[in-house]
Amino acid sequence: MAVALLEVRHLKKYFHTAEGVVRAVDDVSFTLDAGRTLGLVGESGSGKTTTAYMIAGIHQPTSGEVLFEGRNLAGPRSRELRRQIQMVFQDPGTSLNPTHSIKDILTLPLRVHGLARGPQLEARARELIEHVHLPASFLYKYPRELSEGEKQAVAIARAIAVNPKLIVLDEPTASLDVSMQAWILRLLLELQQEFGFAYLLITHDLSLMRNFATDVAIMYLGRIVETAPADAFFTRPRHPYTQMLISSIPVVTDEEEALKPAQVVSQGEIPSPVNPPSGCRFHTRCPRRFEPCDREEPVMLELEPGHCAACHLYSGGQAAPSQRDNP
Amino acid sequence: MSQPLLEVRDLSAGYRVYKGFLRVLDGVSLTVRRGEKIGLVGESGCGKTTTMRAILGVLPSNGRVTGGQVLFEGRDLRQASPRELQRLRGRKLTAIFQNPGAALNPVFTVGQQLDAVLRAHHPGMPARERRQRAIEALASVRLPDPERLLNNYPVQLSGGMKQRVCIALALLSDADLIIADEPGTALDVTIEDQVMRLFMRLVEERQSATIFITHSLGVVRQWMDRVYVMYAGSIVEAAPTQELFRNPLHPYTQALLKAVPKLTGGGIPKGIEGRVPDYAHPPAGCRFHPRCPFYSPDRCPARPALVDVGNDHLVACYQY
Amino acid sequence: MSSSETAAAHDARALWWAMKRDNWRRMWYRFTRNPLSVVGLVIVLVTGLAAIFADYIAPYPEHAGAFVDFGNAMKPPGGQYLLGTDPVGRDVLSRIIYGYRFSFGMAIVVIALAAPPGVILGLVAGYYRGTRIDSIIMRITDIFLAVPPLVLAMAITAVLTANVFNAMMAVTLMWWPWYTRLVYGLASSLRNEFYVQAAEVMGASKFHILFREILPNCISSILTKMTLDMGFVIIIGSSLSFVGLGAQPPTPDLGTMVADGAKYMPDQWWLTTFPALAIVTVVLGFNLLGDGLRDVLTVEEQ
Repeated sequence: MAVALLEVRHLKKYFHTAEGVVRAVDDVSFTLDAGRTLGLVGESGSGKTTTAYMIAGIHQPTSGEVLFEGRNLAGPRSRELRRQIQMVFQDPGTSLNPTHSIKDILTLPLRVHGLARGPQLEARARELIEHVHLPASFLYKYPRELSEGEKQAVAIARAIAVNPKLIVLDEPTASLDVSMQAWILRLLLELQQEFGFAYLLITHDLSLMRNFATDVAIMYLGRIVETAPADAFFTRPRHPYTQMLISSIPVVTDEEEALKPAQVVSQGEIPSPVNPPSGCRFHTRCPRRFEPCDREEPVMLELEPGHCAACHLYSGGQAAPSQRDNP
Repeated sequence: MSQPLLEVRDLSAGYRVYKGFLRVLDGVSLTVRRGEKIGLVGESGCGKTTTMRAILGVLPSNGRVTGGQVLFEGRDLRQASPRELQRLRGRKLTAIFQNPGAALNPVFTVGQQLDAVLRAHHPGMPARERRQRAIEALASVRLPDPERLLNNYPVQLSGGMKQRVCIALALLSDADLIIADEPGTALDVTIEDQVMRLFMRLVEERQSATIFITHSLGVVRQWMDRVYVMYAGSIVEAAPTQELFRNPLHPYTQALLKAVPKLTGGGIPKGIEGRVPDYAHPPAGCRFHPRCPFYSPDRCPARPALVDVGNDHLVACYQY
Repeated sequence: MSSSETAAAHDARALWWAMKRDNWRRMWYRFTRNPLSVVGLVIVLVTGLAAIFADYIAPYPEHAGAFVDFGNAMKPPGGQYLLGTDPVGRDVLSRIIYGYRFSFGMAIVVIALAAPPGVILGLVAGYYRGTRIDSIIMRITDIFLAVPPLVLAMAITAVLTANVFNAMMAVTLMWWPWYTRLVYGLASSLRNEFYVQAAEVMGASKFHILFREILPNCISSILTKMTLDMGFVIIIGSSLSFVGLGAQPPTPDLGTMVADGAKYMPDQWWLTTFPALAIVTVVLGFNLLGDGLRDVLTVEEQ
């Protein structure tokens, strides 16, 4: 059986702050295969960004494993390993150094990894910028002269410059207009078709997720509460939090409105990750909580092939594959 | 027919910068009736915030209003003296901003800030009564434990709570018109939903009118009575909400609706060709024409006026 | 590359230069919004040029050295000697001009020596904030900062011989920590910027991150500080000379001139007043220029 490109097992990240221990990521497990797109969705405090940062190598896990092509990524990463996992950041305005020209920005990865030298650098930079459908004259511009969408395209060109296998996309279109968003997403899909990248997409925008991800996992306060292939996730959401989130999205067509689950009205504040609620972390806001919810943490159960949720409403089902091996 | 609460007629405004003058607003017209909930929707850079600032009279130092009228209860705000404006602002006309963290002063407690507003608008009111009103205001926005909250500093509150404090501040003044500039942007989706629900209910209870500025078509569809679509500094379409979404007429509105990814699937949409115009050298006539799929060389270079096509539906396009 | 590609590259480069020129023009436009900044620039240019071309501008260049002419001593301002003459007959104006040369020279040397190590230490400490390197560097910096600058300089020059070189060393030694502190603050916030994280994810070397990613974004603050510092160093240098610990006679120095002339107040008022005004003018010039730069450079970053 082929080894998954990325496998995350019981990943945890705790931050020690003045207010206490922030359990940003608290036992997260999932896999991602080459050429697929996994979407991680959640609100503030869910831990999705921290998870992404651990995979990209910006944070070190507190415990648990991140396996890339079977190899454990613990500790400082080799340059070669860094080449394989790249990232596109949330705010294109600050992900490009304002004092560098676009040419500098694109040739940096080439120089760092020795992929080109001298006059080849410029030629390769030219290729990259053409790959993201921007004119070559942009090479001599500075980031502030570009629109947000164009900047993000440059950030994408930078990420693909080293031929990575996995690209982490952290809210890639959050600060973009609707029309720019569409352009960037199409670009990403095109590049995925051409180069076979795997994408880990972090976002809070469910409509985007629906049309971009092959599989979706939803996080709440550091845990994954539901995971499923994209279609199943949206047509048959099982976890009350998923239902709440989907029903809170403002949509533009009647068809979408009909798709939304019966109004699960959002109530209460999102608890702080320093002091998560006992038992099921969602119980304080859950309209369907009942007896065991504030005592016992629900286990992740496989409800249909590939579709798992952690909720007491479904207990009595089969344990999910990721939970079968002991931490 | 009663007089509209706010009537903006052909408002033009812009900013003076190194390159010259950016003619951002190019004849914006809108009407707000008492108790009406208006959504002003458009992408970033279309001039929504400039419109808000121009109406309130708080453009930055390099901003200028170059034409048009802003009639509030019949009085032209552009002709009003600073004193008159001062009296109107905060009392009849108030605002809620995008970033609640920036709108609240971090060195004063919530109670102090609420109190300051009360003192400004009700000079005679005794302290005890002010405190009572403040607590009621916080309770009305469903903030837990209002008495204790009075002593908290903004930094101790979450984004959603801060935004609700801002709403409470705006409602304290009992204004007839509340202009809200993307108040949900900094909030999580589920919290935004809660806050919107609350805000709309309170606005209805008080019969205040509101102009709600946003780039999210979904929010507008869910909560507003009437929608104004803005592109590059002018209104391109206006209609009651249901009507607009069932029957979008302006090419820009149609393109915008198509460009939003749908929850029901359908893949990534195509987006809109071209870029937002450079306000220093805007296109002549209809500002959307370089990007319009229905462009017609003989009709488009003239600036189209807003035409009523029935059902209170206005469009600015030669096709109608 | 084919010829069409070469042509395209040419065009691109032309665009590049055009853009740079446009940038400078825009910054100048913004700079001139504030007339005081322009005043500052003018003062600095005039005094600076006077300092460089002292030999050609000063009416009596030979008066800058050991020169005596008791026949023309203590002449009040006017006539041949625009600002008067001193007790040994030297032209005050010429000596002021040469005094500028001395002050500028010293200030430039001090800042050029103090800034680089200060900046480097600040970069490293800021980037590694929270670790031991940070603690070590910043504690050392704090120690130097705790000593009052003038007292330290006086102590050093009093212990060693009082001369220009030692004065400069003394001032340099107590100047670098300010740069460290400035850059420390900048670097520790900049290291969380996405472009720095992008470079880390890319696998770039620490050297690259510190000097090619973070430092360029600190340059504008550093430049502003250097400009303002010119004024401060001139004051400190003049103060040292005033108490006799800096330049020694017959070298013309503004501080020394103020000190020497003080005894003759109020009768021969020009002996102290003009050198004092000269100091005030040049420091004011640098302050105004520095403020103007700060306004221009911070807006640019937005």
